[in-house]
Amino acid sequence: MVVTGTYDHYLVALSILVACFASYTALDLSGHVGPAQGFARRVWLAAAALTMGSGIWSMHFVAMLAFIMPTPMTYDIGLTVLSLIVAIVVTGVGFYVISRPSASPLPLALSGTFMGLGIAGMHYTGMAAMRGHVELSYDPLFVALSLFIAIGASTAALWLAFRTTNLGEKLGAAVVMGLAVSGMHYTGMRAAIFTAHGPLHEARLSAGLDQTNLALAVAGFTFVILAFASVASLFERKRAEEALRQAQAELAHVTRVMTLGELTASISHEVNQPIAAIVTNGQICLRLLALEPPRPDDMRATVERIITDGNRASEVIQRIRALAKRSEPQMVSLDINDVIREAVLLMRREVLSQGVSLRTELAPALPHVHGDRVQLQQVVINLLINGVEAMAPITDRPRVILVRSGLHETGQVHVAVQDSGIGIDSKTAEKLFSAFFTTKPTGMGMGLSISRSIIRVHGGRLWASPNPDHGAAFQFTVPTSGQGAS
Amino acid sequence: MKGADSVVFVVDDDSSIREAIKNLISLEGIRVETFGTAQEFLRSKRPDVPGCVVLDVELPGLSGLDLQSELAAHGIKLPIIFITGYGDVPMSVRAMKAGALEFLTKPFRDQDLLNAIYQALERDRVERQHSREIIELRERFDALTSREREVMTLVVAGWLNKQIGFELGISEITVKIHRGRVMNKIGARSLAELVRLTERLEIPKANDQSAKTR
Repeated sequence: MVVTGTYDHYLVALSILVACFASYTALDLSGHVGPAQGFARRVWLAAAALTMGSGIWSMHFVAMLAFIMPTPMTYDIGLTVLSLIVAIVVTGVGFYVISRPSASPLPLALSGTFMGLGIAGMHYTGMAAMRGHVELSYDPLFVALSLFIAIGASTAALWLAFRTTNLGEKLGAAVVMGLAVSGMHYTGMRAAIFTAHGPLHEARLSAGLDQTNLALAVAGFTFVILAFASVASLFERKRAEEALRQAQAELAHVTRVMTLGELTASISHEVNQPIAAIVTNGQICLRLLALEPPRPDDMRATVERIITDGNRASEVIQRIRALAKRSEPQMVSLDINDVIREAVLLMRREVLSQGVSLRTELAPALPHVHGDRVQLQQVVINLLINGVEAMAPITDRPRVILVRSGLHETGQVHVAVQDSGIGIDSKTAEKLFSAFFTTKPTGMGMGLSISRSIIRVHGGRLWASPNPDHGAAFQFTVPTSGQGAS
Repeated sequence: MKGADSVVFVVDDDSSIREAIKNLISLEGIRVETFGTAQEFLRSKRPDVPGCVVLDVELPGLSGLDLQSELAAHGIKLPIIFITGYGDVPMSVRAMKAGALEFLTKPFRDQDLLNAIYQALERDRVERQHSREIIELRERFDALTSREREVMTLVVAGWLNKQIGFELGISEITVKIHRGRVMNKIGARSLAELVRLTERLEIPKANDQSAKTR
């Protein structure tokens, strides 16, 4: 005699919720496995596997409590524990496979398979742990379907989870994984055929109070564990982000100092020019003093020139010091045109010495941008150096660099450094931005990659495009501070 | 003043330096003209008085060294005083070999620049004097008849009047008359002076006949 059960809908909903929440936490934790090293890596992997395995297990338990059978049921402790271990180990293997760096889709398929097998393995082991006055058999079609759902949905969820850092997409991945777990379970239950081989005593028509409380306790306990795991993951994420931000600022500083080193000759020339003028004007003053009668008006004019040139030399030195200083990035509201002018001041001589003429077309009254003055200057300097180098082989046309600023269609402020150099082809355009990619024998290949990371931190975009005639334009956008031009 | 009637051309792209040098030289009572680029200087109409160029090496576009060779290619013999922000040895060697008068590193001592300028102006004055004499001399030489020119060429090559007469098929007396006219027209008081003047004109010489005399 085939026995059919009914479901308590509230507990079913609770079971799905447990599955989704556990999936979210486990996927979140597994995200730490890839970047971590050594012991930390094993800890994150174990945490992800424990969370996923016990999540599946408690989903199953809550769902079984939601299943009302007209016959009492007990569970074999040994097999129940085994089902938990199966879930933890097999999903652990799944997480291990996907967190290894690889470009091929094979690990994803493998990981999805393990994940699905972990879910199904837990379920069928858990079912085997049931003891009662009924015999259990399966409809093979639905068993196959349950396996298919478990593996397919797991793969989809892993694919979603490991391609993004976006919270919304991560939540989506968690829901898909939750559906993989609960979908597998309820399909697996549909496959189960219970046959009674004795009279049915004490037919229960609704879940008893004890049973509901037990389900709630299991679910509640699971939620508490998951919440702790989520908080730990969140702290780790914040810490990692902070470490990354610091490393990025550090790298920006180091490459900035290196760039200054390369520019030493032209920058020192930029300081020496006003000093030479000061010396000559000082000597003129001495000569004027020795004249009879003295010429105070000429003296005054000469001293004024000395002051102007002294300030000019000092300004260059201040710019260099600001660039060389190792300081925390300070995000303030600033005029991008000032940033460009200051960068051009330091680069002017370098550009001229390469036989390049430099023009600027700066749009007036641009809204202020939100950014770090020094890092944005670094980007402009890098792009200028890049442009000058791109024109070194050019002899048959004028070497020209044009720096433009303006408003981009996205509402961000846009800066373009346009050269008439050798240009870029679209295939290598993206390679330009990867670290250590360089075309010059002395370069480190850090300029463009660090520039892109600076702009990314600013919330903007840096890209390159070929000009219609000659050369290329390297351009970036930076969000405005919303304060407008003052 | 020493520098009156002469002009110094200052070519530097940095306006502060340009003005400072201009003021320094002006104090000496010398006329100064300033230019920001080599091209600007090349386009300018320069007065026909003794002059020199104070030239920055690191000019945008045409560099100071480029301008030096450009001037040489046009036969402009203005003495050049280079000034540079970061002169290295190869650069100064190249400039001096190409005939630069002085190579000063910024900042320089005012007296060093002024000394160089006076030296340069003096050199240009002598050079101009010299070329004026050459022009005059050439005018005098052009005034000679072709026979007189033939006689002169052989005289300065050391030929005797007799040999010249034989060579040209004229009498020794006629040679003497031509020779007297040549001395007169060129303005040479002795044979030695005539030889010196013709050497300055770089007139093609006849074979040295004195070696042939037995």
